[in-house]
This record gives sequence, C-alpha cells and structure tokens, in this order.
Amino acid sequence: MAEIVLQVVDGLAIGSIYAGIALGLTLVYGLLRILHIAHAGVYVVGAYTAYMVYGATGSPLASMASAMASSALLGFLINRLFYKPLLDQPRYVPLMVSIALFIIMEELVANVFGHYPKGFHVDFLSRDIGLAGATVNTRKIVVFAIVLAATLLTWALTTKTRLGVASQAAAQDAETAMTLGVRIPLIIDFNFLLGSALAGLAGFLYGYYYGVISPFMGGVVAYKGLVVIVLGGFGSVMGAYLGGIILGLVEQVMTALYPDILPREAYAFIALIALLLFRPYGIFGRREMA
Amino acid sequence: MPIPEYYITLATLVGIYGVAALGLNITMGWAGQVNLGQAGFLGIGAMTSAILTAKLGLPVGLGIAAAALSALVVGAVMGLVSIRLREDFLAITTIAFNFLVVYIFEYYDVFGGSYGISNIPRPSIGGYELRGASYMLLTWGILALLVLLALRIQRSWMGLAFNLVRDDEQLASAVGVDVRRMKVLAFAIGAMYGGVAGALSAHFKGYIVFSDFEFPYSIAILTMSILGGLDSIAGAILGSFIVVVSPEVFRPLMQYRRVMYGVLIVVVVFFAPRGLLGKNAVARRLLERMLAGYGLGPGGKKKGEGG
Amino acid sequence: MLRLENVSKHFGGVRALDGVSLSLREGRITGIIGPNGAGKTTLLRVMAGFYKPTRGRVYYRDRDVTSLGPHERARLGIALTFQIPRAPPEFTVGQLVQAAVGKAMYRGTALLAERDREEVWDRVHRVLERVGLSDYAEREASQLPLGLQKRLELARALALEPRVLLLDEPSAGMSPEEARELAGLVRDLNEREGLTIAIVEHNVPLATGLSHYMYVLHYGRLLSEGEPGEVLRDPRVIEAYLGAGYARG
Repeated sequence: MAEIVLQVVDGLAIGSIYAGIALGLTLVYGLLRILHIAHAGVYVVGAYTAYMVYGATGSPLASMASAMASSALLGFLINRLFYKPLLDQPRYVPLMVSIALFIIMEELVANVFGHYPKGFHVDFLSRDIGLAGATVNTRKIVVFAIVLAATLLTWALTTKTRLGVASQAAAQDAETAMTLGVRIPLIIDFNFLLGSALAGLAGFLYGYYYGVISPFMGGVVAYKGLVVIVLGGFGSVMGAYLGGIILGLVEQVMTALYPDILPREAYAFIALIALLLFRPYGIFGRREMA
Repeated sequence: MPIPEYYITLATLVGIYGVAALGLNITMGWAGQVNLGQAGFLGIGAMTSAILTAKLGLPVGLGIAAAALSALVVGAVMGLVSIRLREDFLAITTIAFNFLVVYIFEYYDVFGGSYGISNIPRPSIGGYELRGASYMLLTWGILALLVLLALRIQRSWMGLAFNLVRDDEQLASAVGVDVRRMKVLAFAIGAMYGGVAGALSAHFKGYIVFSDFEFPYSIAILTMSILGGLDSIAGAILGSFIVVVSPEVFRPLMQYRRVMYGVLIVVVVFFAPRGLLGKNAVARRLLERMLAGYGLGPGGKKKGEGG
Repeated sequence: MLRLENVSKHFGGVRALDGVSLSLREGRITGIIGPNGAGKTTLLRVMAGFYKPTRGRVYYRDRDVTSLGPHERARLGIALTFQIPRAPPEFTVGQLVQAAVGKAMYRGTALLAERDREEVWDRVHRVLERVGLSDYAEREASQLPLGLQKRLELARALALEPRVLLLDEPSAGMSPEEARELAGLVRDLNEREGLTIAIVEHNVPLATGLSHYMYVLHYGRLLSEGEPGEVLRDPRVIEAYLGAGYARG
C-alpha cells in the first residue's frame, strides 16, 4: 500500500511538470499549428533564471515569478522574431527553426552555466509527512497543487474572459474570427506570453522538485511535451493537463513494475504510437482538429 | 601525392550522409511524407549489418544488403502508419519512432546495450581489406548507384505519382494513383537509403552504440536535405557536404560550434527555405543561367522538368 | 452503365444523401440538378469513389464497385472533374494531363518505366487539342484563368480514356460564350465518341439543353426524374427551385 501511494504521488508530481510544459505547447499549437519544440528551451531558461534569482534573493516567490517573467518574454520574442515571418512557409520550415532555436538555447545555457547539473535547493515547504502509511515529501504535493491551480487559472482565462473566448474562436476558425473583429495577432501574443510563463513555472518546479537543474533537462521533455498534447487532443487545456498527469502516472507505475523492459522515457512514445493507431485524433480530440 | 587521411574521412562521411539525405529527399521532398526519424533507420541498418558481420561472421556485402532490406521493411511499416496520420501527427510519430528505436538499442544486449557493438569488420575484396581511400571509393560507388536509382524514380511514373501525392492526394487518386501504396513505397525506399547509410557508417567506424542514432542526427540529416533543397538529388549531396564540413569550419569557435550549427539552420531556412539547389532556388537559377550562357542549359524543358 | 442503389451518405449528423437510387444509361447524357446543398457534388463523389456511401451499393456495368477506391474506379474508366479545378503549383498543363495518361502505369514494374516518352506526349497533345488547350501545354496550370483551368479539368478526365465522365459544375466560373463552347464539346464527346456522361449543373438551361434524362435532387433525396421537359414541368421541382433558389435571386 505504502509503495503504491509513493508511486502515485511521484507520478502525480512528475506528471504535473509535464502538464505545465504541455499547457503552453497546446496554447501555441491551437492557434499557430506550430510544433513549438523551442518551448523546451524556454523552460530551461526559466529554470536557470529561477536559479539565479533564488541565489541572489533567497526568495522562492521571487524566484518563481522571475522564471515566469523571463520565459514569457523569451517566448513572446521567439514568436515575433521567428515564427511570424514563417507562417506562410511549408510546415516543416517553422518546425526546423524551432528545433534549431532549441539547440541554440540549450547550448548557450550550457556554455554560460556549465555543462554539468547545478544543485538548486529551494527552501520552501519541504518536509516529510506520513500519508496513508508512506513517507511523502510535501514538495511533491506543492508541485501538484501549484500546477493544478495554474491549469484552472489558464482554463478560466481561455474560456471565461473575452480575450480567451476570442482565442478559442480563432483556434477554431481564424478567418471567421477575423471578420468578427477578433484581433488575431494580439491573441497570438497573449497565448505565447501565457504559455511561456507556464513553461517558466514548470522550469522552476523541476528545480524545486528534483533539487537540481541541467542545461539538457529540456531534451526528452521537448518531445514528450508533444506526445502529451497529442494524448490530450491538440489545443485543449484540460486535455493537456490530463495528458501530462496520465503520462507521469503511467511512466512511474510501468517503471516500478517492469524496470527491465524499457527505460521510463520510452513509455510516452509507445503510448503515443498505440494511441494514434487506434484514435488518430487524440483521446479527447475531435476529427476537425487534425 | 597521397591525400591526407583527414580529407578521406570527411569525404567518406559526406558520401554516407549523402545517401541518408537522398533517402529523406525521396520520402519528404518528392512524396511529401514528413520523416523526422531518419537516424532511426540508419540505426536499424547499422545494427543489422553489425550483428550479422561482427557477431555471426557473415560477409560484409551480405550485411549491407540485409541492412537495406531490414530498413525497407520497417520503413514500409512506418509508411502504413503514415496512411492514417496527417502532417503534425506523422511528424511526432516519426520522432517517437526515433526515440523508441534508440531505447531498444540501449536496453537489449543483442544490440550491444550501452556498450555498443565493436570489432565490426571492414569489407574486403579478394583478401584486400577496404580502408581509407578504398573505403571512400566504395561509399561513393554505392552513393552513385543510389543516385542512379533516384534518377530512375524521378523520371518514372513513380516520381510523378509521388509528386501528385505530395501536392494533392485527391487529384492523385483521380488519375489512378493508389495514394496509400505510394506513401508506403516512399517511406520504404527512403528508409532503405537510410539503412544502407547506417551500414556504411558501421563498417567505416568499426564500432557503433545506441547514441550514434539519437534524434539530433535525424535533425542533422534533415538539415542537409533542406539545405540542398528537398526536391534536388544534387542538393542532398551538397547539403551533406556543408553539414559534415561545417563543424570543421566552426572549429575555431570551440564550444560555440553547436550554437553556430543552430544558427546555420535558422539562417538557411529563413533565407532559402527551398534550399540551395531546390526548384526556383537562387543558386539553382544562377547555375542554370551560367550553364545556358555556355549553351549547356537544360534543353528538355518543354517535356517538363522532373520533380 | 453506372447505378446507385439506395445510397445514403451521412457526414456526422448531416444527411447529404438519403436513399438515392438512379442510373446513368450507356451512351446518354444524364443531368443532375437541384438547389444549393441538395447533395449533387456528394452524389458524383460517391460515384467516383471519393466517398464511401454510409448505406447502399454502387454498380458499374453490373459489377459491385462500392468498396473500390477512387484510383481503382479511375482505372476502370470512371473519370471525375472537380468543381474547383485542381492545379497544384509548379505543374504544367501538360504534366497534369500526362499524369492521367499514365493511369495504367501506377502499379507493378510499370511504375519505374520512363514517363517522358514520345507516345505519351503525343497522347497528351491530342487530348489538349480536343479541349482547345494546345497552346498551353508548357504553362504552369495554376497561373491560368479559371475558364482555362476548367477545360484542363476536362482534359485530365478525357486523358483517362473514360467510359463514364462525371462533370461537376463544368460551366461554373465560365463566361456565357465559354459555357456554350463547353456544351458543344460535351455533346460532341457523347455523340461522336459515345461517352456516358453525368453532368451536375447550376446552370439549369445548359443542363436541360444537353441531357437526355434528368434527376432532380432536393435535401439529399430524389425529387423528380424524367426527360428534361417533363422534369421542368413537375410542380415539385418548380416549388423547390422557387422556394430555394430563384425567390432570393
């Protein structure tokens, strides 16, 4: 029992970090239909900003806020400088640029901060408590709670505010939305700011959760994030959240049960291929989204 | 005067990656099927040939043939998958394929696990072992054969069918093209090129390990294809040359080499999204104008240029 | 020649076709008319194999072809023209017709046969001449004016050497003069070459002038059928058109 609780709590925490990354990706994909690999670079930069600010101030809140701010700015600039001019090109063109930007960001961070992982110990609500017979660190619960709150907030922003509703309309049908007076560029900027801030948040939480960050922590996550938004159905906020959580749980449980079959990273990709073969439009996706 | 070893190594690598990029051109450039996992097919070819030759002692020629075949078969399976998926889903699936292949190599001992497979033999002809310049010639010989095959495809009905599938599937089926079969074929043929390239690299280096086929290599191969022009045969080889040589050019920049590689991709894609030798590309038009000036311009234009 | 038996086609909850039975008689021109959204284009696409019917069967010369894909039907001799011309960039007019000339070459070892051969291009040029596009063989198809692209659609269909020709709004986007020329060509194809033709048209006078037999669709159902004169006198048809189309125009 204690073992199960441990695995589930770990799965939820890791899944929450995936969800934080996937939320931003899905906001971008819903509007621009760009596979935004560079999002993982934004996430790494967010983590290192959090690390620096925490080192300077010692404040977890300032650290988190700065990560979100720097990531938001970076994501915003990537869109303005690189994606906007390429929207009428074949789809693989912005994708290539995105991958290249990811390489550039990863390497720059590695060159500035060193190739090796850095210890990043945030002193915030980190103690062991008993939970259903298991010893669980409160950090895991905090990570879960913060991402859940951020998801609900994002969901509210995208469904309950005028800007969000306009954004949904634009994601469904850009042309009609435009004739209805929706200002698409404004919405794209909004989605990039919001989505990238969430990546920064996830970067901070990664450091907070593992106590360590590395320039290459975005590596597999960049592509797993894509898997998550496919699982959740492209463009859906709740889908991305659930996709992330489910992936975290599946990975954790499968690795605990069958450690010798495949590395944990493999399950995301197996799940993806299996899913696409049986439900080519995602678990929650609709036909029109493809 | 002997050519320095270093140049021979570079030339061999240009040949090997030229084969890989050419295969990608067929799948992606001609038939429009996104493949972001070409390195996975290199891995399948390399592992097949390495296991057959280093572990089972079969001749290298047989190993390379088996590499081509195994990649072809797996490519056909990916092609079957591609029938069900469009653009972005297919892109993500091919990425997933690449990751999975590498994880399997890493986790299973047949593929040498995390230690890899060493002592992979070099090919020999009549007791003479091909290494250095002679291996380079073998590589370029195989590249030449595969270029001939590509030319054949380009000028055949298959080439036209590929282009139709890429540009308009409904139109393709309206003229009698079996769209699904063409997708499977395009994937299988492109993958076969990848498999051959993988086997060539295995016998060149003598040692392979799972990490030689990780996703970034797929991006490198795709960069070659796009650089040269996704629809151009010569472009694939030019792209291979540029990407293989650029780390050497960027060598003085030391640890910023990979950054420069990223910058190179961004610059190329921004200013020449159709590649250097692709249709309507600047370099191609200049070249054609020059050739025309010497009376060597492409004369058969009225019969339409091949894809 | 080509027969639909109780065919329905649903898209999600929308019933584009609802239990339609009809047949194209050999060597005849069959007109299919109906107000906007009646299901005319869907009907042609079911015939050509682009849509699988939700229910019902399709027979071609008494053979059940319901499960055959569009490429197989094209090879059998069922040719469709698209309402909006299909001319991807970078293809010349000649190449698009060549693609159809090669209909039998897209399988087996024929796939690897050289395609730029003299006899192939002779056939291409003969077809282009037939539709009056001889001077445009080397022009990029997507750059042509709509009227010429519509003719290219017809050329591509004819290059398949079809037995059944399915024309989807062939005169849409044409000037009255071009439409008249087109009508002459269609009649000629039918009378001289004995082609079986189905024509879906918005231009009712053009359709009635050409057709030997007509079907009227309304909301996915067959409303009326018969000789053109009969059909036009049918009060149900008059009501459907007055109610749906002409009243607004």
